Amino acid sequence: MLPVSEAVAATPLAPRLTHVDRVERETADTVTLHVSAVDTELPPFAPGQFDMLSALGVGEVPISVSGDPDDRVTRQYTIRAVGAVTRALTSLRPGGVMGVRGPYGHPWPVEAAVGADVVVVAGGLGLAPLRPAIHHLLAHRDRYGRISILYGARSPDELLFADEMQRWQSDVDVAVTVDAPSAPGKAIPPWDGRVGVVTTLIPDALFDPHRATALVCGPEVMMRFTARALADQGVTGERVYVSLERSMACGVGLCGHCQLGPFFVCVDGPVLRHGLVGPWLAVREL
Amino acid sequence: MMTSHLLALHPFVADLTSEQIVTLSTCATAVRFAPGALIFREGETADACYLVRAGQVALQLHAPDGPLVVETLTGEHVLGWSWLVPPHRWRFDAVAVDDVDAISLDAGCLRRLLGDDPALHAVVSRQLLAIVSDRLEHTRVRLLDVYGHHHAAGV
Ligand SMILES: Cc1cc2nc3c(=O)[nH]c(=O)nc-3n(C[C@H](O)[C@H](O)[C@H](O)COP(=O)(O)OP(=O)(O)OC[C@H]3O[C@@H](n4cnc5c(N)ncnc54)[C@H](O)[C@@H]3O)c2cc1C
Ligand code: FES
Repeated sequence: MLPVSEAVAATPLAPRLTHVDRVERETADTVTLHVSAVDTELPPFAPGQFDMLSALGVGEVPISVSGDPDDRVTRQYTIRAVGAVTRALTSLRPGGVMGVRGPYGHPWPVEAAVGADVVVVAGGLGLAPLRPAIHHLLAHRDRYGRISILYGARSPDELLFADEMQRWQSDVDVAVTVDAPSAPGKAIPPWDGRVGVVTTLIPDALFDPHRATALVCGPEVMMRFTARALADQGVTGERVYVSLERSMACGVGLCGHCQLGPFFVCVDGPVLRHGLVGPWLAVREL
Repeated sequence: MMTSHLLALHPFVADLTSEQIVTLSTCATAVRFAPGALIFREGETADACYLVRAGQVALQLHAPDGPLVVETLTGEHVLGWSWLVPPHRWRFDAVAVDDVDAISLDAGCLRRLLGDDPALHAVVSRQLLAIVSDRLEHTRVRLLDVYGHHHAAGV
């Protein structure tokens, strides 16, 4: 008979226990948790995949892995507190315990993009699921053409990974814009950068539209407008990939919670070609 | 007057005939603004239309605790359409963020040309309308506050 911990680890739906090593505050409602497994190692993940995280006694939610895919010891998750489970997870302190099962889902097509230009377009928290792909692109910089990272956030205080972004700038083109550089009654760091929606960064980005691959993540409205702006530049929906969020329960294609037309977002996605999934996103009340 | 050659390179005139471009160039002057320079000021007479060739411009409103940046514009773009619409006053301040190279089209000259040539008027108006509708779309998307929590993608 298998020891209990191995038997549990062998069950695909059973979470592994992990402890929180470090908590980094990113914005007022968002933190990055650095976690590691209590006993066995967590299985490796590919950029764009997600884990199901459980806050013990509260519930379980899908969260994209936001750290470096080459880091085999520590897993990072960047989580915004919006409801019961994410509030519990973002309240964890170093030493706190949570459950992790995964990784699940279809990753970003970083291998398919080899040899071509890559345009990464992120909106708000959407930078978190893209960050492992950015780590991968930078670690294999010589395998890609031009790399542009275009990032839009609501305001300067809501920009994620600002220090890291400065470092990325030495290897790739980075452009950042905010919707609102200031807000009445809110102390926001001074901003002298671009102001406007993230799609306004696209015409200035340098890439070959006929060969570039675009990786896009953010709110669905933002992704829709981004796909349209990329199409205006000549990047067809076949080379535009988006990461979708749908309500999930099992995460492994069993329950149907995450269904979008013919797709189960947990197994067919979360990363899907916009050319394929775009028409389903346009169907109302789906 | 500047050569029509420089003007012909700007995307704003892409739909104009070469004759129309030559005509338009009679209103044009090449201008350059250093970083921090005020290109125009809210409330003043809108006396030009700027076809920006390079550089970043901030559109801003004056507020008691400093300027509020409404939008930044970069690359080749058209700056200002208040010259077309009475009372011909700028609605914002425009400030050069870095070195800005532009073609300034004199508003009086431009209005006279458009009045004399309905075909030119139609093309220029259509171009401006496309720009206005683009900027309106951007503004609407920003008003939606898509990064707010209530816009979780389908969750
Ligand atoms: C594949 C995938 C990857 C994801 N990756 C991340 C990630 O990296 N980081 C992260 O913070 N979240 C991520 N999410 C979203 C996360 O799963 C949800 O925020 C979470 O399920 C909400 O659960 P809750 O119990 O905290 O809130 P609930 O009680 O379920 O919801 C509380 C309120 O928040 C709203 N809400 C639900 N989901 C979201 C959301 N995504 N954004 C904003 N508001 C929401 C609900 O409509 C409701 O009004 C991901 C989702 C999917 C499907
Ligand atoms: S979450 Fe159960 S099928 Fe996708």
